[in-house]
Amino acid sequence: MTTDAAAGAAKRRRRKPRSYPTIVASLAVFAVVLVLLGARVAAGHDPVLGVLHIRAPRPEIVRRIVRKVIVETTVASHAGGKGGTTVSSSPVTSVQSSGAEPVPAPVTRSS
Amino acid sequence: MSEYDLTFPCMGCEFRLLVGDPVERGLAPAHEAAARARGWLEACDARLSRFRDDSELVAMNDDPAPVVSARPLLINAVAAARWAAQFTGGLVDSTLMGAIEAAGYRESLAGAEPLPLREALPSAPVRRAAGPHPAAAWRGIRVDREAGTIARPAGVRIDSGGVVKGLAADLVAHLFEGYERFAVDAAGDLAIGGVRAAGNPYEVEVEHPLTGEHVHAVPVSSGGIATSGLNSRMWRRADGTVAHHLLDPATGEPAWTGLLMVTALGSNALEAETLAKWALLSGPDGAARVLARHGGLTVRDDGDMELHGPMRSRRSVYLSRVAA
Repeated sequence: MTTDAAAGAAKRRRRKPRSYPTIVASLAVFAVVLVLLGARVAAGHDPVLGVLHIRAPRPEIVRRIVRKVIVETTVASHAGGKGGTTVSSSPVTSVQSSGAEPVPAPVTRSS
Repeated sequence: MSEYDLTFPCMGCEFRLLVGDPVERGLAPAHEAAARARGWLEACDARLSRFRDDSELVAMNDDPAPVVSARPLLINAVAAARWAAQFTGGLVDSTLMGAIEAAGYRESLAGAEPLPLREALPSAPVRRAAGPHPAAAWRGIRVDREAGTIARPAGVRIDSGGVVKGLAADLVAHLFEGYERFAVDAAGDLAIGGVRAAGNPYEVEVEHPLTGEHVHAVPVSSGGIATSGLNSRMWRRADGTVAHHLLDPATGEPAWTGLLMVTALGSNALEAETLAKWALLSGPDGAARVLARHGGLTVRDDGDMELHGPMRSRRSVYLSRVAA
């Protein structure tokens, strides 16, 4: 019974904290943290964004040449044509591609 | 997969051959096959051009005899023109040589800058669907393959230009049948196929006539796809009116139907090319019926696009509404 009595006395001594000091203490801690973080952000050390003006390292690009383009320019003279016009033709191109870099898709257009 | 890509001028336009690796034994490498095909196409151009005095087509048209002998290529071209006229009820009519010359298209326009479509549209006449020529001179064309002759009514000259690109693409396509995949691009009229094309189709891009942007992509593994439009050959006549190369057979004048361009799918390039012209000449309402079976895409005067038939269900990549 002695133990029970002591425990009861301890419970009675433990008082519920009062609300006013608790609120004041919380606001004070919040204000301090806010001021510290504000100072860091103002100095350019945003904890989320990190330090400003840091460039991402440019990835090194390794390319293998898989296309060979040959361009010939020809001028076809249709002297025997109706009206005897000379026609300047567009260039001839040929490309050998591999699956790594496929050729451009075919296009349908009015002609 | 490796692919050979050859682009060259032909028939006053730009042709392109895409050829994969040979699959069947004994076939030439892709670059050799493409070079052979290019030579054949250039010969085809020389033999069937209406702009060359030494072509077989000009010789036939200049011959006053009612029946003339012809080599197989010309016979095939005239047979294709006759078929196109019959297939379209006379709308794709290859006997309008006089009318097209009267409209101002007497010489090749290769390399010439066409009149911009945006400049031409405001002054174009009232839109209406084209109709067949009442005389239907094309019905008088007869082709005898065994005898190697062509008969046509007196005074009728034939312009195979409306079908020859599709026909040439289909004929050249036979050279590539044993290859992984291929696309024969005869200035926008394409024949596509190949042993392994079904598993790796081409995404054929459609170019908008007003903006030049690629506004749609159609996966095609075999058959044909072709485009017919006003913008590629357009000029201003001496009287200030605008003209283009697609004539209304009923009037002999350039057709203004409310459509600027039609892309059509077909079982081969010739059929696709014929369907595209037929749909364009039929106007917006008629085009929907023409394209219902194989599918296609129409572009109206205001730049709006519409998909028809099976093309609606094909996966589209770039489809967007383009403002005029």
